[in-house]
Amino acid sequence: MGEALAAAPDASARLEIIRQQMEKGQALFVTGKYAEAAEIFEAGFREHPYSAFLFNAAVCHEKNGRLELAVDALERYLDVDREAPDRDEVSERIARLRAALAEQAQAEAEADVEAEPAGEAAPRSLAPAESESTMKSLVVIETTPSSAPVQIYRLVDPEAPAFVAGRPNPGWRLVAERVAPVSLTLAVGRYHVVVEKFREFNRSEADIVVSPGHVHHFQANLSQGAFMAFLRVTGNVPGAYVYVDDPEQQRPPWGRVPHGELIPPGKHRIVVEAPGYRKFTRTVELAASDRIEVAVKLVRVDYGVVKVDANVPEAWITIDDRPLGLWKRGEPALEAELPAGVHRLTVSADGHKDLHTTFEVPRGQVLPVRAHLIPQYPRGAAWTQAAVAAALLGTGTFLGIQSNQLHDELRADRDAGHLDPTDPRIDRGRWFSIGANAGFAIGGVFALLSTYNFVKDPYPDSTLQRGKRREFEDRRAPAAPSAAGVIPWRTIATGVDFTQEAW
Amino acid sequence: MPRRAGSVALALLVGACSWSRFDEVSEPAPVEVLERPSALKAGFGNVVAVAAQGERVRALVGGVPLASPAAHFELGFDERPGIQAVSAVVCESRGPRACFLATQPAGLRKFLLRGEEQERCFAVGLGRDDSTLGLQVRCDAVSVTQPVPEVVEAALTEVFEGAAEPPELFAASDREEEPTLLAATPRAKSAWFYPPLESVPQELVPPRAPGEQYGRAVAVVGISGGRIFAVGDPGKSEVWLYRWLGEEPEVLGCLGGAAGLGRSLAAGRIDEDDEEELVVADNGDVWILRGAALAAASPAPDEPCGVDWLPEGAELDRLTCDDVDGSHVCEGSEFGAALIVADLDGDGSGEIIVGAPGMSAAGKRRTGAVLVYDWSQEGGAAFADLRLLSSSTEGSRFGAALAVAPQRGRDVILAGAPGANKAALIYCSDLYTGESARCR
Repeated sequence: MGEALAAAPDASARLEIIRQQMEKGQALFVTGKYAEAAEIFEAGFREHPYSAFLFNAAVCHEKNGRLELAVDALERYLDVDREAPDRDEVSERIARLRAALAEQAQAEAEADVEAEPAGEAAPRSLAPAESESTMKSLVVIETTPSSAPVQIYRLVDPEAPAFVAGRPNPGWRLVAERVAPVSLTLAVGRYHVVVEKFREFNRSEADIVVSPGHVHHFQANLSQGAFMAFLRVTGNVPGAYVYVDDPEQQRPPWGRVPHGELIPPGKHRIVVEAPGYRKFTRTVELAASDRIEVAVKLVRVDYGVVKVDANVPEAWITIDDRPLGLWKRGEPALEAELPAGVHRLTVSADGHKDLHTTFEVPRGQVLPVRAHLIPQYPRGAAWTQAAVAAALLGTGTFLGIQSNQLHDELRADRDAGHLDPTDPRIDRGRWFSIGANAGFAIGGVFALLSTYNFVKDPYPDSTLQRGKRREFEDRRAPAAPSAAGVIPWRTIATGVDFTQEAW
Repeated sequence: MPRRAGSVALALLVGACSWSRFDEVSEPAPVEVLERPSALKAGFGNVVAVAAQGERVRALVGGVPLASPAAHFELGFDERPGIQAVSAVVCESRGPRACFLATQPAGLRKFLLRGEEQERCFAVGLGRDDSTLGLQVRCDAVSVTQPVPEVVEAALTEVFEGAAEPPELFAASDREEEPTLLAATPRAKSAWFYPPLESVPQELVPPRAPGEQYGRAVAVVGISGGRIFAVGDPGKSEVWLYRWLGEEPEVLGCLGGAAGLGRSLAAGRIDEDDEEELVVADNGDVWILRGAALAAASPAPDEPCGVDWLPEGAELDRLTCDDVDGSHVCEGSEFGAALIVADLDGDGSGEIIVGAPGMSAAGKRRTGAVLVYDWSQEGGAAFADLRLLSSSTEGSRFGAALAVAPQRGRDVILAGAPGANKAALIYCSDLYTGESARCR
C-alpha cells in the first residue's frame, strides 16, 4: 500500500487529498459529530485504503455507541495492516468491545422480559477509555533513494532522555521496522525515525511529533545526509526571483515564484525580487521536516518608466518642463524614470504643432508613448496679409500723424489770423486724412483677414498615442535552476508542521 | 503710459478719419485770397488799390507795373464769398488804347468822367485814349483818359513814338465823398492833382529843382477845408508838402530827414482830432506827422528841407521795425515799403499798417509781413500785430503793396504778395474784437 502511494506520479496530490479528508473527519470528531466523522473516515478508506481511516472510523463508531461497527472497523484494520505496531492493543480492544456487546445483548433480553412491552431499547454507549478515543494519524516516510531500512521508535516514557542511536535508549520502544517507503498508522505521540546505513549512504535520523487525525509525510534525502525541511515560496508575481540566504545576490536565484524545494532546517533569509517591484525580505525558521509556504505579496515600486518617440524625423521632448532630449528617427525611444503619477509632456518639432499633454506613469511598469505630431497649417498667406496690413496701417498712421500736424498748424495759423484758403497744406492735409482713412480701412481689412488666417487651423491637434504598459525588462539570467539539486549542501529533509501557510 | 498711448491712438484714428475738419478750419478763412485771372501772368499783387462807395467795394489788383494789366474784384463783406466777382482785365499796355499800369494806382469813391459822376473809379495808369494822352481813369467798364500836365504829356508822346520807356505813375486819393486825385510821375518830375469832380490837372511844382525820384510816393492828407498833398522824393530824402484850400495850391514846405525819406507815404486819421495824419517812411523808420500841425503850419517854401520849419508837436511818433515782437528778421525787411492807415478795430481812429515785404518770418526768407501799429494818446504808437499769409513761401513779398478796404464800420487790409502771385484780404487783427466768423 505504501509503495503504491510513493510510486504514484501525483503522490503529493493524493497525499494532500488524504490529508484533507483525514482532517475533515478529525474536525467532525472533535465537535462530537461521530456518525458523520465515521462516515468520512469510512469513505476515506474506500478511496484510499489506509488503515488509519479504519482505526479512526472505529473510534468514531465506538464513541457513537455503535460497538458492532467499531468491532468491524477494527477487525478490518487488523486485516488491512497486518504489521500494525498496535496489533495487540487493537485485538484486546476488539475483545473488550465484543464483551461489551454481549453484556449489552443480555441486558436487552432481560429488559425485554421485565418491561414488556417497553419498545425498542436505545443502544448503549460504552464510553471508551480516554486513550482509546484518540484519533490516529497516517505517517508516510519516504527516502531517496527508496528501499532504505527505516526504524520508528516511540517515546513511551515522557521522562526518557533523547534518543541516541546505538544505545539502549530506555523509554523508547521500537514500533515499526520497515523498508521505505513506509505508511503507518501511528498513535499520537513523539517518535524517532532512524534510517539505517544504506548502501553508500550514512545513517540519518530525526524526531517527529504525530498529532491526532493528520497525515504526516516525511522525506529523507539520503545524499544530503540530513533531514530537510520544505520551503515553498508563492506570490502575486509569478516568475519573481527568490533568493535564499544570498542577500547580495551573488549566486543564481534559488527559484522563481512559485517555487518550493527541500531546504535545510534553521533560519533562512528569503529575498524575493521582480522587475518593477519592491524587494521583499523575510526571515523564516524551519525545523526538520517542516513544510512551509511563504506567500509573498510584492508591491510595485513608486516609479515607472516612460519611453517617448514620435512620428517625425526629430522631436524635442520635455517632461515636466525639464528637457529630456532630442529624439531622432531610427534611435530608440527616449526613456525617463519618473515618479508614478501624472506628468506633463511637451513634444515639439520643426513645422509641426507642439504637443502639450499629460500622461500617467504606472508604478513599476514601462509606458511606451508616441507623439503623433501634426504638421502646422501653412501661414504664408497670413504673414503676407499681416505684412500688407502692417504696411497699410503704418502708412495710415504716418499719414494720420502728418494730417494731424497739418491740421494743428492750420488751426494755429487760423487762430493767429494768417490762414488763407489757398494754403496748400489744406489740400495736403485733406488728402493725408483720406489716405490715412484708406490705410486704416484697407489695413484693417487685411489685419482681420490675417488674424483669421492665423487663427484658422483645419488640422487636428497633435496627439499622444499611449502604448500597452509593459513590465520592466528582466536583465537576470534567462533560466532559473530547477528545484532539484539547487541546494547541494544538505542531506535529508522531511517533516510536516503547518506552522505557516499550508499548501 | 499705455493709457496715454491709447488716447493718442484713439485721437489719431478719430482725427485722421475726418477730412472735413480741413474745410471747417479754413472756411471762412481769416485771410481771403484774390484769385489771379489767367490773363495776368507774373507779379500779380504788385499793385493794389480799393475804391469803395457805401457797402460796394471794388479792388484793383495788378501785376508788374507798366507791363502787366490789372483786374477788378468785387469784394463781399466779411461773409462768404469774400470775392463776389472778377471783372474784365483793365489797363492793357498793348493796342491803340494802351495803358501803362501805375506803380501805385488810386481808388476814387467818385470821379467825374466825361461830365458825369462815376463811382468807384481807379486811376490805373498813364496811356492813350484815341488821340488823347494822359491819365487813364476807369470806372466800371468806362475808361477815360484825363489830361495831364504838358511835361507829362510830352513824356508820353516820347513813349508812343518809341523814344522812351513808359513812365511810372504814382497816384493817391482821399476817402472823402468827393475825393481829390493826386498823381505824379518821376520820369517827368511832375506831380499834379485833380480837385474833386474836376478833370483839369493842377500841377504841383516845388520851388526848387526836384530830384530824379520826385513823385515816387504821393499822399493826400485831408484837413479841414482842404488837402495837403505830399510828394515824396526819396532820392533826395525829401517830401514836398502842398496845401490846397480850394484855390491855388501853395507850397507848404519840404520835409527832410533820413535816407530814403519819402519812399512811401500814406494819410489817415490817427489821433483824436479831425485832421488826417501824414505817415512818411524812410529807409529805416516810419514817421507820423500830425495833420493838425501841418494844417496850421506857416508856409516855408524857402526853408531847407527838414522838420525845423514845422510847428512844435508836428512829429507825432516814430515807428521802427525793432518794435516788432517775436523772432522776425528786420534786416532787409524793407520796413515801410508800403504804408496805409486803416481803422482795423472800427474805433474811428486808424492804425498804421506798414508793409515789410522783405521780412523773413515764420521761418521763411523774405516771405513778407504786414505790421500793425496802434496809436493812443497815452502810449503813443505801439506795435500791435503782425499779419502773415499762411500760404506764403520764400520770396512771396507779402506786404509789397497795401490798400484799405472798408467793411461795415471797419477796415480790412488788401495786401499784395507779388512773389506768390497773390493778393489777399486780411480780415482779422488782434485789435479787432467784433463778431466775425472769420476771426473766431
